[in-house]
Amino acid sequence: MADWTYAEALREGLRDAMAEDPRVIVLGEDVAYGGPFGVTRGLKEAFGSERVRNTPISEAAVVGFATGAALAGYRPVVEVMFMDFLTLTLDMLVNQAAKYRYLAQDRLRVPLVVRTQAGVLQSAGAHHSQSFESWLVHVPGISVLAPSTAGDAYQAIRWALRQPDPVVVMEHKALYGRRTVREPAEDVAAGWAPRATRRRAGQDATVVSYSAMVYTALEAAERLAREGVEVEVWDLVGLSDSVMDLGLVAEAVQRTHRVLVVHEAVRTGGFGAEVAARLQELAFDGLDAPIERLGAKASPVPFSPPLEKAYLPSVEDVCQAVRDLMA
Amino acid sequence: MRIPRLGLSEAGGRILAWHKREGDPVEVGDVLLELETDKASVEVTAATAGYLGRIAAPEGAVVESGAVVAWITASPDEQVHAGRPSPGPEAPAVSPSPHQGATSGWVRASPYARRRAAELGIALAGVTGSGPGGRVVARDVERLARGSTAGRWREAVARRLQATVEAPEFWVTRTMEVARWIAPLAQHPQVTWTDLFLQALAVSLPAGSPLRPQPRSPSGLQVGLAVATDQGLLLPVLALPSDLPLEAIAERRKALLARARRGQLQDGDLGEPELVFSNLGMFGVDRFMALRDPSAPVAVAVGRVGEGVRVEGGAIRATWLVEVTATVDHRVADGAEAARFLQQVARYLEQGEGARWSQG
Repeated sequence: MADWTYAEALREGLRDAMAEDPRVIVLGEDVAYGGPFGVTRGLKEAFGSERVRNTPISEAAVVGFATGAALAGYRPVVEVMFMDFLTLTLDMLVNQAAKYRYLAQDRLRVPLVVRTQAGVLQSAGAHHSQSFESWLVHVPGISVLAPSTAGDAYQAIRWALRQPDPVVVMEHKALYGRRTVREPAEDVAAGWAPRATRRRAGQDATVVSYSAMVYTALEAAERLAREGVEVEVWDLVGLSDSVMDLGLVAEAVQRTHRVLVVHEAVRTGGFGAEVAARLQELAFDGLDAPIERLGAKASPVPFSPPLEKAYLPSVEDVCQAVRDLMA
Repeated sequence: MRIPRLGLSEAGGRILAWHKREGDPVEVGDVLLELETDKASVEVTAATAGYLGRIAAPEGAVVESGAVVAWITASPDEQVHAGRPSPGPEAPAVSPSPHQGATSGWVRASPYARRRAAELGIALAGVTGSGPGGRVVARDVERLARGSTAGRWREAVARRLQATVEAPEFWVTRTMEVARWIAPLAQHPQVTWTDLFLQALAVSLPAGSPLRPQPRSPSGLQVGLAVATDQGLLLPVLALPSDLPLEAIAERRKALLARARRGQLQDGDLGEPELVFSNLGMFGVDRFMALRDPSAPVAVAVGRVGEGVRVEGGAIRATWLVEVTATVDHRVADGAEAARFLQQVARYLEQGEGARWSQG
């Protein structure tokens, strides 16, 4: 297989983890049938309905159940169908799963993995399109990953299932079908960790992004290159304090002196604010312009296709923000 | 007292010398300082009478056009507070409020520009910002630093010539007969072939002609003279009314060249040329193509005036010839227009009623 899709990579990550470790179980709405995007397709057939379980539509109950299972020694992977409904699980995640190891002085661990679908795709509407990563990264004890490539999606699952603490893997609906080149098997071995990765080199400005917006940034970089502006694009991959290291990005800023952070979440209070704050701490005297942030408009995600398009940062929005930075 | 906008020079320059000291009385027109720009050294004169109150930019400082370099006060003992971050030990009797002092000394600059300024030893107060809202950004500091160390004119020449290289250009050459000028020029040793060609150009390029669609100055055709000096190539501008007699052209041209060679060009010498003139005939060059300045749609290159032959009706006739080559910006004019321009020049030189002399 020369390339694979994001969904295939996630499935393979789950399959390999389940084959290796009998403690890994998969829970969620319709997961036994493959889930809404087919990620868990075939797992029930391969590992049985004890380990791949459909659950009722009660996200709080499922994550609570999974937290208990994790405390009892399992490594549950819960699929929360749409990040929008992660809101229903927050008490379990924030006040239970993220706290047990601390409260129990490391005698208890919650190796819980939550897979959830974020982002805008084809008019899923105000309740099925949101990106809530900035709520999660605010809670110490939860790791948040937002892979953009199939390779990182595979690794994110494998890495998450080796952690002693809860990990939320933000999957983007628009990425499931995206094919990327499959790295050779040896590169897929241990040693992967979520770290900022440069997806494109350039010396004029640094664009920092993650998840699906990486591709918007890359497309913008190509357009800007035709205008003579070479932009480098960084993909953060890991977002929470536990996994984010902006050292390399800060070094890049010392070369380019200009930074734009782009994400799909609403700009105000968005994760870009954290990135901007950290980069100015790390590279203050390398900045030749204020760090720019680009995110979705301050609005519920519109259902109307033209409005939905206008809501998100576009390739041209990224280009214009970079042009403004270069002014 | 600010550094004025100096014609071609976009970016100010380096203060070579102050000609007045703090406290000296100043009359309008007094030379206050000498400024090395990317084209030449320029004397900057006072536009206001009074007393030189405080010098803000010392000799050697690199300053942008518009930068405050000194204050001229109404009385000799008036204190100048503006632009001083703190009063210091020599605080005047009436101190400015600390708040006022603090804000007026603050320069809007990016963090990286501050770091570069510190690394390069550039005073931010003398830099004009090109960033949003006038913010000083790193490129402003680096541009000044390059100018202060490597000689600004070389960078400027390179930049301006680069700009013309990117323009669509063409060249038109015409051989002109100048035998009828041998004798008159011999009688007026102070007038040179260059002066004659300059007059021919001034006459042949009236305002509104295709190569001079919008005259830039009422003082006549603005001709940039390519001058080789110790500092390199300079391009001071000579204003040529079309009725200026040859002796006057010669006089003005020599004065301009002398100022250029001494590095003492004045503000008025540094305008934007409408035509660049270059004569390499004295070096024995037959023909060459001159580079334009971006502001000039045409450059005229004149080669050696030498003996040659013309064939007319099968008869060979010995005469004196010169090759004149025009470099033309194709965005301004086309080939036929350029050819007609050279035709005008040739007509003036070959058949004109004769030169305009101030006397017999």
